[in-house]
Amino acid sequence: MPVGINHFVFIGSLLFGLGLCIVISSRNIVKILLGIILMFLSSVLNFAAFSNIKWFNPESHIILLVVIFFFVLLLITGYILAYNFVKKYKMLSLEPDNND
Amino acid sequence: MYDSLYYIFSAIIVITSIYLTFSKNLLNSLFAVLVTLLACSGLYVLLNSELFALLNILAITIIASIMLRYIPYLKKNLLVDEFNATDSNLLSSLIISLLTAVISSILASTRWPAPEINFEINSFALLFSKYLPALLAVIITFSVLFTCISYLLKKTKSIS
Repeated sequence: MPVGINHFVFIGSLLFGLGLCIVISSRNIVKILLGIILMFLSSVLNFAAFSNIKWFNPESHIILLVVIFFFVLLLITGYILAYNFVKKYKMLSLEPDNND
Repeated sequence: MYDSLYYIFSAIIVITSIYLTFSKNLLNSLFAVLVTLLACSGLYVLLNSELFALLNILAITIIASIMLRYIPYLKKNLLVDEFNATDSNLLSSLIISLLTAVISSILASTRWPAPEINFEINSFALLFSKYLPALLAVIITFSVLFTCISYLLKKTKSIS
C-alpha cells in the first residue's frame, strides 16, 4: 500500500490522542508539558502533510513558522510557570494533598 | 524506500509515544519524548520540510541539555508520576483522536483543485521582501528562547 496523506493523518491523530490523554490524566507539571509537546507535534505533522504531499506551497512553511513561534512562546511560559510553582510549593504535583 | 522509511519512523513514534504516556518514570518519559521528536523530524524530511526537521533537532538538543543538567534533581524528585488514566479519560481521548482522524481524512480525500503557484513570484528568493515579518518572528523566537533558558539556568541553580 503506497504511503499517502491518510497515513500521516493517522499518526497525527494518534499523537494528538495520546497527548490529550496525558494532559487530562497526569498530575505532574513536566508530564503535562510533554503532552502539550505531543499535541503540537501532531498539529505540525498534519500541517506539513497537507502542505507538502500533493503540492509544495512555500506559504504553508511561513504559516508553520508562525505556529512554531507561538508554540515556543507557550512552552516557555509553561516552563516558567512550572518553575515558579516548584519554587513556591516545593512539589511538582498539581493534585492537592489529601492529608491536609 | 520512502514507504519503508515511513513505516520505520511511524513505528518508532507509536511505540515511544505509548511508552511516554503510560510510563510511571518521568525520566524515561523525557527520554521517550526525545526519541519521538527525532522520529518526527524524520517524517518531516520525508515530507520535504527539512527546515522543521532542523527546528525539531534544535528542540531535542535544548531539551537534552536541560535534562542532562538536572538529572540528579530529576532522580531525586521526579521519579514517580501520579498518572491516573481512568477509563473515561482514555475513552474521551480516543473519541477525540478518532474524530480528528475522520475530519482530517475527509479533507485529505477531497479532490482539491491544484493551486496555481507561480514559483517566480512566490518563492523563497523573495523571503526577505515579502516574508520579512515571519523572518523577524523567527529571529525573535530564538532570541526569547535562548534568553529565557539562560535566565532560568542561572535562577535554577539553587534547586539542584
